[in-house]
Parts: sequence; C-alpha cells; structure tokens
Amino acid sequence: MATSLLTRVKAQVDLYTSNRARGLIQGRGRSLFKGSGEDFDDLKYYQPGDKISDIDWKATARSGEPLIRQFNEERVRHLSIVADTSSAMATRAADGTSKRDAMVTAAGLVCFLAQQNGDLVSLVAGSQARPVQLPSRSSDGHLELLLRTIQQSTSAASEPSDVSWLLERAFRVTSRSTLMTLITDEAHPAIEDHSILRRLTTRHDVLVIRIGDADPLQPADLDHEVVDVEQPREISELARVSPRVARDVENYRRARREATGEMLDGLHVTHLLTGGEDAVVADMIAMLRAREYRHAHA
Amino acid sequence: MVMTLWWVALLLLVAGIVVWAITFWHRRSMHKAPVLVANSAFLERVPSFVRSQRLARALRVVQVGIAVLGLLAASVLAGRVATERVQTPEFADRDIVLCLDISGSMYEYDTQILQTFADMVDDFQGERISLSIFNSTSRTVFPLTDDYDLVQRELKEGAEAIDFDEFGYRLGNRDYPQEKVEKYADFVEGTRGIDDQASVIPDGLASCGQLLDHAETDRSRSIIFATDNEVNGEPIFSLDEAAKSVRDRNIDLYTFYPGAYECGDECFDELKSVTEKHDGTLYQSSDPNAIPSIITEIQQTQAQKMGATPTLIRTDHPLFAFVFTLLALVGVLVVGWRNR
Repeated sequence: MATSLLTRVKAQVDLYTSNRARGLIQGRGRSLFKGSGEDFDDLKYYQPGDKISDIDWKATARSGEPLIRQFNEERVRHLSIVADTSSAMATRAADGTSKRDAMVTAAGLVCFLAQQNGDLVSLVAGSQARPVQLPSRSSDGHLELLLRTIQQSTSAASEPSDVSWLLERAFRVTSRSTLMTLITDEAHPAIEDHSILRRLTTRHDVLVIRIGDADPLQPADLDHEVVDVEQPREISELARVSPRVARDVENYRRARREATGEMLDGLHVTHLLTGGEDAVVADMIAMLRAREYRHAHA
Repeated sequence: MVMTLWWVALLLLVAGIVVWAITFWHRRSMHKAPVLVANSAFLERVPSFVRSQRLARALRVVQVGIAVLGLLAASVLAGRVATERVQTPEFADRDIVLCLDISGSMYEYDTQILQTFADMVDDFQGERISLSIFNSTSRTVFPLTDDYDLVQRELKEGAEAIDFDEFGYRLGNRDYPQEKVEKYADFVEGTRGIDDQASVIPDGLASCGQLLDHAETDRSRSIIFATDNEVNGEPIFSLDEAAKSVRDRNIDLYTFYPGAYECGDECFDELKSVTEKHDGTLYQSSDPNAIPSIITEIQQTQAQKMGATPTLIRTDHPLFAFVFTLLALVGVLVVGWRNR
C-alpha cells in the first residue's frame, strides 16, 4: 500500500467533515475530549452525575445554585486503542466491507484526532498467545505504525476472538488513566465481560466501537459459500433462503446486540454499532458530537 | 439372464466413478471464494436453522442415492440385459416312427425305449410320432400324430404292458396278476397273425415304412427300428428288400440292436451290413439303461443331417432398467431443483 493509512483516514475524515464537523473537532479551541483537566475553562450548573469534588463551593455560595468548575483537558492527553485483532475481525462487515478495514479506519480517526492535538496514543491488541502492545507516542510515524500493526495482526489465520482476555490485558498494562477506545464487533463485549469493563471504567474513559457482522445467511449471494472463520461448516442453501430461518436469526442477533448495548449503557460507556468501513467515520463523528454535547450540557 | 454388452456397463460405471472422484478432489476449487463471516456459532441454537440443515443433508443423501441408482440403472440398460435361449428350428417337420420288435427276446428293451420316448414327448414341438409293434404281423398302436397327450398316454401304457416276461410266464417261472396278463394280451393283440411264426422282422420294418405318409411333402422321416434280428418264420421281404423300400421312400433308418438272444453274430452282422448299406445308423448296447442316451444321439444325428444349427436367441429386458433410469433422472432433477 503506497499511501499511508493515516493519510487515507484523513482523506476520509476530510471528505465527511468538510463543512459542518471541522469546527466541532478543532475549531474555536474546543476539544472533543472535554473533561477534568488542569486548565480551568468555565463554571456551569451542577447536574446529577457530576463529581462532587468539582463543585466550586465559593461560587456556589455566591450564586445560591450548585456550580461546578469545568476544565479543559490536560494539554497532553493519553489515548489508548484496544483493538480486537482476532480472526473474527478479518471477516465481512454488515455493509459488505471488511471489518478489519472498518477497524483500521476507526483507529485511524482516533489517531487523526490525537494528531491534531498532539496527544499520545498507545495500543493493546493481539491474543494470549501473541500479545501486541505499543507504547504511548505521538509521532506521525508511531501512529502510522500503530495502524499498520492493527491491520497486519488481523487475518483469518489469527487466534479466535477473546475480548475478555483483551480487556484484562488492557487493564493490566495501561496504568495511566486514558481515553480508551475498544474496537471490536457486534457480538462483543459479551455480558460476561461486565465486571472487567466496570473495572476499566473506574480508571479509563471508555469508548466502545462495535462493527456489525455480515448476515451469516447471505441469501442474495448464493453463488458463494458462507464460512464462519472460527467454525468452518457448510450452511445449506435451504437454510440460507428460508425466510423463517432468516427471521429467527435476525431476532437472535437483535437480542444479542441489544443485550450488549444495554450492558454498556448501564456502565455509562459511550458505544456505537457501525455497519462497516463506509459508515464508521460518520458514525464515530456523530457519537463524539453527542458525547461532547452531553459533556457540554450535562 | 446375461448382460450382452457388459463391458459397456462396466465402462459407464467406471466413468461414473471417475467423474465422482474428479469432482470430489476438486470440490473446494470449484467453489468461488467463500464469504467469511464471524460470530455465527449461535446458528446451532436456532431451531429452524438446525431443521433446515438436517433437511438439506437428508435431501443431499437422497440425491446421491438416486444418482447412484440412476447410474446403476443406466449401466444395466447400456449393458443390454437379455435372456438367452438355444433354439433348434425346423424340428417341427419331423416324422418319427418307433418300430418295435416285441418278440419275447426284446421285452426288457421295449419297455425302456417306450419309457424314454414317453419322457421325451414333453420336449417335442410339432414333431409327429407313431408307434408300430410287430411280431409275426404288425400292429399300429397309434399312427403319426402330434397329439402329445395321446402319444404320452399310449407310450406309458405300452411301456407298462410290455414289461412282461412271456416265456417266464408260460414256463411257470414268473407269475403276474390277471389284470397285468390281460393288459399284455391286449397290447400284443394282432401281432401274432401267423401261427407258429414269430419275429418276422423284415416284414415288420416294411410295414413301419408304410406308416410314413405325405410322401410328396418335404419332411424329415425316420424310423427307430429296435430289433435283435432273430427271425422265426418266413418273411415275405428279405431284410435287404425291406431296408431298400424304406430308403427309397427317403426315410432315415436308425437301428437299435440290444444284443444277441439265441442267434448271435450272424444276425447282428446281417443287421449291421443291411443298415449301413442303406445309409442307416446302427446303435448297439446290451444295457437297457443306455437307451435314453442312444435316443438322444439319434436326435442329434438327425439334427445335424437336417442342417438345423442350434441358434442362440436373445430377448432384451430393458423395461426395469429403463424405468429406473428415467425415474432417477426425474428424481435428481426434482431434488436438485429444490436443493439447489
């Protein structure tokens, strides 16, 4: 690949954010990643959920309403990307693109935003047998390496998906508080990962980006067989074209998606389910805007 | 049941197996690149999916089974299953006269000859057969006929009746029930027209020759002439004249000589020379049990003379294989369409 991955992601972001979102990301000195830094920004009314320690007692006493101090993030922030580079991510995404490309694009967008602010980005990926880890750096070369590492560790020959291990590992190796972006697919994190996720949220600001899986039935594409990368078995055409099977499968997948979504909502984790590479940039920017809005108005 | 073109059937089977083997080895490469998906393990927990998979598998088994059946049926069809039958044509044009000397010296052999013929009647197809017995005079038991029920009945009754040791009975050596004696008397009635004479053999042969009618039609005629050639009387014909008259009427003579009684070589030599002089064939055996094989031999000799080469007649039986092939083809199409 001649062009660098970062450049390609930039081009995609530019294409999407040409007018309306540019200001959102870099304009007026505002950051998408607003939080509790050292740099005092403004006072705002206390809302349930804000930290008690942030309450500016003097100002509260003056105004008669509980006010909290809002700070800009530290100038140098730490971002971490936790990428599921299992074989499951080397498959087809819901919109027909590759889940890996969607993951690289999502990571690329994080890197791109980090590059704008000079933030440091680290990577946790791989499997128990072959763990992959990159330290916090901010150079363009590092970001490019990070994206390439994600891209190259993800293949059909990779280990099977083990997000629980990945989260555990991320918790262990990332001691500093970071804005952590977990990139995985629609079936993860599973309900069983609830406790480790909760532990992660105590230390990190967690974002979860889930990339939708392709329909395992593919009734419109009968010329090609459908093979599960972790469980290769033949899916008969009879099953693939049956409307009844399609309905049952869709119900199951919806229930699974919703269960994960509810769990993440319960943990107050910002999350997003995207269809694939074509939609991931738009979806992420929409998510970050909503998050910024929530932070701004919370 | 034989397979006429068995090698074609074999070829087809081998071709079928080869095609299957080729597709089996290349079953992966024949598919286009598969769609890789993930997280589909849950499909096994969807009952309708499991049912569909099971049905698809069953259909595939059925399809393969039908295809194999179809291949087998097609092979059998290509192999031309047929039944074979050896048929000797033109035997129906035969007339056979059994000419039996029933003088006391012949009684053992006559029973055997009649019995053998009675057994052979079942195999006859249109031949006409006649029985003439003689001692001092001749009696025609039944003229040339193809009424095999009658022939068989008469031959069996004759065989039973002639099984009678007349000399032994007269000398008091043998005793028979009254019924049996009467049967014998009825059977030989008319064969002792001349007193104090017995076994007037040349006249008996000559009168047998008269039995063969339709002289103008082109038929095969033969006389099976069983005698020991011991003449006790004054014949009108000499044996040579009788044989000549038979020959002149284009009749094949098959002489059966069971063995000497009182006369010996002299009588045998005369019989042999006369028979062979007139293109006849002489068979000799003192064993009554050899008679069936001799009569079979006579039959074969006659068949050869008539140029009736036995022919192999094949009848194809394509119906079952054809129906099966057709059904299998339809089945494969139907199931294949459903389970595309």
